[in-house]
Amino acid sequence: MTIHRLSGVRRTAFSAFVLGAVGIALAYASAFAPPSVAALGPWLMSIALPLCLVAMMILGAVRDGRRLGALGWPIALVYVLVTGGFLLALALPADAPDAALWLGLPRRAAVVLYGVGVLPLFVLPIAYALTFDAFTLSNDDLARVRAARTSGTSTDA
Amino acid sequence: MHSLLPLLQSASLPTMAQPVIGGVAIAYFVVVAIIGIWATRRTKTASDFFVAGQGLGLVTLAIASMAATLSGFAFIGGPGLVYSIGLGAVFIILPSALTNSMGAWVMAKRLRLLAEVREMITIPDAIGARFQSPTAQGLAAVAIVIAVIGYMATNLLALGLVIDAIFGIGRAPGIWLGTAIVLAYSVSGGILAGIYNDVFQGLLMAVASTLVFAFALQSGGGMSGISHTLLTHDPTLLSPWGKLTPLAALSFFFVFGLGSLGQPHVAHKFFMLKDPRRLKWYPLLMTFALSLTLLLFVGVGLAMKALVLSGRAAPLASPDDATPTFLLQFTPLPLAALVFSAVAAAIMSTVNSFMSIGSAALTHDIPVALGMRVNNELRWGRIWTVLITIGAAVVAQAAGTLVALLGVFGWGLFASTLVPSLALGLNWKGATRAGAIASISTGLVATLALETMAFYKVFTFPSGVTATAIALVLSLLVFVAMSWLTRATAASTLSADVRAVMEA
Repeated sequence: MTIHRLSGVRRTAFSAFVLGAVGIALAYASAFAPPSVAALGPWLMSIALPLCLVAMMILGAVRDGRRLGALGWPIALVYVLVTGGFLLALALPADAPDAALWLGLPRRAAVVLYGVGVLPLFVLPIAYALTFDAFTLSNDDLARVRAARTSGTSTDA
Repeated sequence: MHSLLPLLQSASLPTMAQPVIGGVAIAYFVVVAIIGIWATRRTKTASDFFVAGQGLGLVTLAIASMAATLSGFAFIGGPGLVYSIGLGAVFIILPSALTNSMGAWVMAKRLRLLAEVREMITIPDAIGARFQSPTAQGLAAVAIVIAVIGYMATNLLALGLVIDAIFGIGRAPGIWLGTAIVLAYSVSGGILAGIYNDVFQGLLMAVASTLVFAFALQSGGGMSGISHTLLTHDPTLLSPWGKLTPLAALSFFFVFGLGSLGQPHVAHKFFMLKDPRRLKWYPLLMTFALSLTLLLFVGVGLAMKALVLSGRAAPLASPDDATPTFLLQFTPLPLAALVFSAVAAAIMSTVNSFMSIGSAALTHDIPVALGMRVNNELRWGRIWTVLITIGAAVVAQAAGTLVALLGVFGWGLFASTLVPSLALGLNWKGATRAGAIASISTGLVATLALETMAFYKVFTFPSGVTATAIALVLSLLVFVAMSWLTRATAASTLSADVRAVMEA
C-alpha cells in the first residue's frame, strides 16, 4: 500500500489551497455572526480567495519535486496585484466627486479594474507561453505519456 | 444578492423590428445553416459527433471556447446589471484575467493528455478514468444533465426573446424558431457544426463588442466624461463594489473564478485539440478574444447610465433594455443589426455546447455507470440531442418559476460537482474515489437544496452569501477531507496511464 505524499512547492501549494478554502468558508460563516465579526469577512475573503486561485495555478503548473523557477515571479506578482487590489479597495476612503481620475476612473475603482482585471491579462498568458516547454509540456513529456497508453477500462474496485 | 437569479434574462426586450436588422439577422442564420450543412457531410462517427474527431487547430479551439463561455448574458443581462448596480457587476467578468491561464495549467494539459491514453468523449469520462469509478462518472453525468436542461431552458427563453425583438413574432414562436435552427445544425453536424459555428459566432461577437465599446466611450464623452457624470449623480455606481456589499462582489469573483474550472461545455473542447503542444498559445489567444468580447459588458452599462443621468436618454423601463436602447439611439443601424445577430450567436453557441454535453452524458456516461454499452452512439447521440432540446424548449415556454429555478442550478451545479474531482483531482495524486463520490454528491445535494430554499425564500442568506458559493466551498472541503480520511486507497485509485498523465 502506497500513500501519496506531495513534496516541496506542490506540498506548500496544496496546503495553501486548503487554507484558502477554509478561509473562504470562514468568510462566509462570518456573515452569519454579529456585525463586528461580519465586518471581517471581506478582509478574510480578500486574502483567502486569491490564495486559493494562485495555489491552484501552482498545483497545475509545477511537477512533483520541481521548483517554481521562472514562474515564481509572475505568479507572485499576480497574487500581490489581486490581493493588494482587493485590500486597497477595502481600505481606501471613498472618492470625492471632484477627485482626480486614474485613467478615467476614480482611484479605488481603477485599482480594482486595472490592477485585478487588466494587468494580470498581460502577465499570466505570456508567462504560460514562455515557460511552456520547460514547465508544461515538452516533446519528451508527450512521448512518455504516449508510451503509457493502455487499452484498460475502468471499474469500481 | 442571495442567488444567481438576477443573472437570468426573462423579461421582453424592446421591439427592434426594422428591415436592416431583420435582413442582417436572416443573413446570419443563412451562414449558420451553410456551416451546418458542411459539417454534416463531415460527421460520420460518434467521435466526430461528440469531440470533432480530435482534429481542431488552436485558433479554432480558442475562439470556439470563448463563444461557448459567453451566453447572451454578456450582451444583454450583463450590461443591464452594470447599469443597475455599477461596478459590482464587473466582478462576474473580472476573474477572466486569471481563469484562462489557470484553466490551461490545471485542466487543459491534463484533459488533452488523457485523450492521448484513453478514448475520451466527455468530462465524466475523465472523472471515471481518474478515479477508476463508473459511480463517480455516473454521478457527474447526472449533475450535468440537470444543469444542462436548466441552462438550455434559460438560454432558449433568451433566444426566443431576442428573435421576438428582431422579427416581432411573439415569444413562444421565437423560442421554437430559435430551437429549430440550433437543433437543425446540432443534430446533423454534432459538435463539428457547433465548433465551426462557434468560430463564426465568436468572431462576430468580438468585432461587434469592440465597435460598440468605441461608440459607448464616444457617446459618454470618454471614460473620464462617463466617470464625472456618474460621480456627480450617483457615486456609489463607481465604488469598487458598486451597489453590492464587498462580500457579495468578492463572492462573484469566487464563484465565476474557481467555478470556471468546472464548466464542462468549455473543458471538453480540450479533448478536441489535434496537437497538445499547440496549447502553448491557448491562454494568450483565448484571453485576447474574451477581453475584446467583454468590452461591451462594461462599456454599454456605464455609458447608458451616464446618458440617462445626464438627461441625454430617457430612463429605461428595465435594466435589460440598456444594450438595445443604446444600440438603437447611439450607434449606426447596421452596427445595431450586427450586435443583435451577435446576441443570437452568443446564445446559440452556448446552447449547442450544452446539447452536445447533455446528449453525451445520456448516451455515454450514464450507460457506463449502469454497466451498459450503447451500440450506436452516433444515432443515440442524435436522438438524445433532440429529446433534451425539446424538453428544454418546453420548460422555456413556461417562462416562470420553473425555468428560473432550473436556470440558477446551472452554474452552481457544474462548479460544485466538477471542480473538486476534476480540477483538484487531476492535480493531486492523494485524491481518492471516496473523496470524488462524496464531493460530487455533496455538490448535487447542497446546490439543489440551498438554491431551492433561497429561491422559495424558505431561508434568507445574509448579504453577500450565495447558495452557489456555499455549495462550492463545501464540496471542495468534503473532497479534501474524505480523500484524507481514505488516503490509504489513493494509490489503488490511480492507474498507470493516468499517473503518467498527472506526472507529465
